[in-house]
Amino acid sequence: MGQRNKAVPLTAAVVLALTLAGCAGGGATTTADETLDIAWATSPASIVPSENTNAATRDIGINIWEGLVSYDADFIIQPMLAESWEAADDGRSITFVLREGVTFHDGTDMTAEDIVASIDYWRARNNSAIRFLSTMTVAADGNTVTLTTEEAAPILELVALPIQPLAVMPASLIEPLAENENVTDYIGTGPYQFDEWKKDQFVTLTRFDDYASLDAEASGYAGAKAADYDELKYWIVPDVSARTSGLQSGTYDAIDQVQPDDIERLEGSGFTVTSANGPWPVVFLNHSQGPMADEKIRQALARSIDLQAVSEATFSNPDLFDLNGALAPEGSAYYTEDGLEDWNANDPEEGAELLAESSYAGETVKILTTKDYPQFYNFAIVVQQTLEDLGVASDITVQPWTTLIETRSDPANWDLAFSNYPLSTLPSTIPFLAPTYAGWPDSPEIADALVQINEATTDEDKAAATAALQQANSDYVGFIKGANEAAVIADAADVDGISFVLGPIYWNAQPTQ
Amino acid sequence: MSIIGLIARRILQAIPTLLIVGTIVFLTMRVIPGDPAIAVLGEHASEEQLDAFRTANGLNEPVIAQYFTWLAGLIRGDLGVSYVRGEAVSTLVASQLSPTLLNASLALTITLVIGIPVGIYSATRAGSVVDKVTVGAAAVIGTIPSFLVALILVAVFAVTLRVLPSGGYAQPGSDSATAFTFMILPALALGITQVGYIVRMVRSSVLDEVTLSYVDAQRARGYRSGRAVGRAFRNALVPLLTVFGQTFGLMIVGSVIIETVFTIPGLGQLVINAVSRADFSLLAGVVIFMAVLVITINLIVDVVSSLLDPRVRSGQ
Repeated sequence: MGQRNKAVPLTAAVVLALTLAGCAGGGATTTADETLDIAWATSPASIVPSENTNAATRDIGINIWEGLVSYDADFIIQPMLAESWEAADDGRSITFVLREGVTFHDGTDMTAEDIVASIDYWRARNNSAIRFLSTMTVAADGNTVTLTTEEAAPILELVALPIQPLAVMPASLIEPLAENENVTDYIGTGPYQFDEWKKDQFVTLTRFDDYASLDAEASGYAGAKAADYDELKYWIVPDVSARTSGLQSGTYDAIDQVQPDDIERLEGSGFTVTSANGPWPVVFLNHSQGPMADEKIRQALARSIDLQAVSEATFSNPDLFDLNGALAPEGSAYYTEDGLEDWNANDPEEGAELLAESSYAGETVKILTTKDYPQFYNFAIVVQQTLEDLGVASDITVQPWTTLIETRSDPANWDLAFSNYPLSTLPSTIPFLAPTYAGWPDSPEIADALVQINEATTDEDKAAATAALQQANSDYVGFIKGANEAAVIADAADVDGISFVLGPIYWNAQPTQ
Repeated sequence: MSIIGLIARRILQAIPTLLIVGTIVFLTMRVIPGDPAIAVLGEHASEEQLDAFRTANGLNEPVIAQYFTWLAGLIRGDLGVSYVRGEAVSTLVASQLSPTLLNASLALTITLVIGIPVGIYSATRAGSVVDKVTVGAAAVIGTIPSFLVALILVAVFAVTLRVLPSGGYAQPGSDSATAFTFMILPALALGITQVGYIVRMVRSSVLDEVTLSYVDAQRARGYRSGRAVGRAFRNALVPLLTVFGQTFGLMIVGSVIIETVFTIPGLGQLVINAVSRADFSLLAGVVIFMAVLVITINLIVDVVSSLLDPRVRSGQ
């Protein structure tokens, strides 16, 4: 009987021991009043914007690092660390004059040598810089930096790229690195400085008291920046309902990637919902083999598809998408509506005629999509319906996102695939127009238009070259662009000043007065 | 068989189990296409960058070579390095183990505190209306998925009443009261769904005992009925310990979903991240570790059971 009496205490001891064992580890901490707590959907693999193309990396990193120039809310390039610049008429060189009195978070002064090292760090990693700036030399002279290329290139627009942007950091951090080695000290010139990054849990940034703000109106990524909060804390919360309920319960002050269905409920409860320039969805077509290698079949699909129905499948509110086929954002010098006559034609009869003229002989079109991003799946369903209406057989394969990207690297695996792309400030950098990119487009007209864009130096030429690209893409069907869809963020009533260009901007956020 | 012998035999039995589990996970993840380089560098990264990453992480090696490298590490006790996080898998597991164990322990406590008394009470009233309602309710509760319970709890206590946080985690050492508030809803969500199972198991085990003649004999000798039932429960405890151990193991595995809903940085979060980013080495490592954890829990249960009841040791 004695042994049996031990049963209850032993059970309790096991539970207690395990409980205590559970108490021994680390974890996130709680929040302070002066902290802006942000629930962030995507865990960044890096927080240095020059290192990868993920929006999550850029949107956190731009608080810490700045570039030479920045886009304002109207997609016009404005000064940032460079106070001015002068481009040569032939488009082969540009000289930036640096702002004086800018200090890094480690207290050292920013110099032209830091810019040179940072540009080298960035151009070794940025795909567009690798493509278009391979011959570029970068020279420092006193307070200026001159970038020179052998062939005409849109140097300013590339240096200003908001996708995998240039991030200026001290040369002393970059020089000791081996090839492909990334920085581990996070020091920039921005209004917030790095404090702590617990991967997959949170990134904490604190106010940089010696921030040298521009004396210009804040607009987009440009102009004056202020750090009103002591701390910005990006909590990694991948689950959308956890972000939303966290905002409603007061756990977070702001959230990104709000589900469209939640907008009305959040607004009705007094939260501020902001919707702005999200990425546009895109259909990739396999030009190298299979039915989509036939231009007529591609055209049949492109002319038949109802792009409004595509966006309506994701957004019940028509204010959240804009049926605009232009490749550049409105306001940009590259924006034009020319060359878009066939975009969203939504004309199944023309599609049927084109299909009749094609080589289509009953093959099954292999559609590759993912449910990781519901809008890609929705797009695939609408495309499948369009194909069915045309009398084209198709088959949908659903894969996790990273799996899909690897699957689509083999042309034998797919005919149509889906992704999205942010509003492009420089249309020649849209990666899937490159012949090496999945889809393998091979169009002399597209290649020619890309060269025209890169050589254009006046606003008129930039728009004309983009029109040529839009027309060439429409004729060849390099890819099918969807409507411009909104990205949606939300914040609590006691926060003001959050803005959005290609992602949320929190540096001018402040508690409601 | 001695206790030491039992432990030694169980450990030997665990080795092939772990090898099979690890091999299946490792090879399954390799057969399914997926590229951690994309997860780290982004969809539009340059080929040069992607290739440098793959070479640095051995991903350009043939799968079979990768497997043997991984297996050799496993035999040395080295779970490898996470491709995406760039840290040792064992370090990541160690740093994220405590939230999972803490949550599962609290959940088990909740389950037992509710489940045992209700189960005993129901057993002592077997056949009554109360018993039938209890058994019915236990069956229904057992069918509700934990994420649904979690969402309901968040909607009521975090969003509507605003008395508890909707998610997050705080280290118990720094501010235990705050840490506890973070754990209440996840532990409840995980615990409530298992209460039904525990009620049914306790009820049937106690019922098996109370129908035995010794309980009647005790009653006949004038023992109070409650004391007789208490003794019946103590005798029923040995088989129930196995049930409690299994429940604890289920709760650790179930933490994958609960940690996602409540944003808890535990093992479940590691699993979800590893799957979504094709981080094969991390996934294989975490699954191996979870298997070790479940095997260890079962071993502890067996040891405790054999201490309580020599028949378990002798294999009767």
